[in-house]
Amino acid sequence: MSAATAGHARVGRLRINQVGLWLFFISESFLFAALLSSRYYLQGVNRPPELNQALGLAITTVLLLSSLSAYRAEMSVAFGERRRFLRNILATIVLGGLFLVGVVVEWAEAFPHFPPQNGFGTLFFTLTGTHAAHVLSGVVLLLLVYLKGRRGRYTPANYWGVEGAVKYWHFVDLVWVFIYPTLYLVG
Amino acid sequence: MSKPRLGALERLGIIVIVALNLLNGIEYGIALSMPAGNVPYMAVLAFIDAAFIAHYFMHVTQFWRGPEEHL
Repeated sequence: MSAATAGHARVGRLRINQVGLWLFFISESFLFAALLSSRYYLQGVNRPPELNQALGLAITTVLLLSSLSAYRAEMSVAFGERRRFLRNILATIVLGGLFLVGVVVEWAEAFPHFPPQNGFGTLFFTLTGTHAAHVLSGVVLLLLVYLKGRRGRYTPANYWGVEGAVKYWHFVDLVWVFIYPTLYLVG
Repeated sequence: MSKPRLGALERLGIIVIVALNLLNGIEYGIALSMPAGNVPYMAVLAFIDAAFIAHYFMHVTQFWRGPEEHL
């Protein structure tokens, strides 16, 4: 196989990977759209006063900041800055972990106010739980990327693993910008 | 790829995250000052947030620009 043919095959494979990932995002969007719409359909736009607004705002800020470190990690690996890439991936993992701790605190606070038989409670725990499961899988994915990155598996010419994991992380962030106002802010 | 371009991209990332946090703060402010009837504002702000993330961080435009031009 000539170098040109190999190059075309690599670009083609990357293209297929990217399209596949976006199709996955679209299918996931349907899941979250269904959950978000069920909140409005079943509960209207009533905002329970028991929700911890400060905590909601804090974990949203943490998740948004984690998107910056994920973005910087992707840019760094694209430019061959390995140490900066590893540092930013690690920062993203830490911020993701912090977000999950925030969700656990949020659940502990919310549970007495919204027991399982409560309509809003069901929606609240389902939405935040489904999203937290995605964050957790994103953290695991980024951890794998970090470990592979430490072994020098990614180069500026081949970093699809980083790009895919980081895109997934941004998708999780994108979903949260709809979940946050839906649960905490609308009225 | 040269270092100045990486610096420019990182600055862009910081500008986007500042904008996202600003929009988030505006959402929060609206929710506090307008306890009822704020849904249209929340929807518009959430879609602007999502567009920022999809465009600048997820590089959605790579579909019509090609996979090697997304940076």
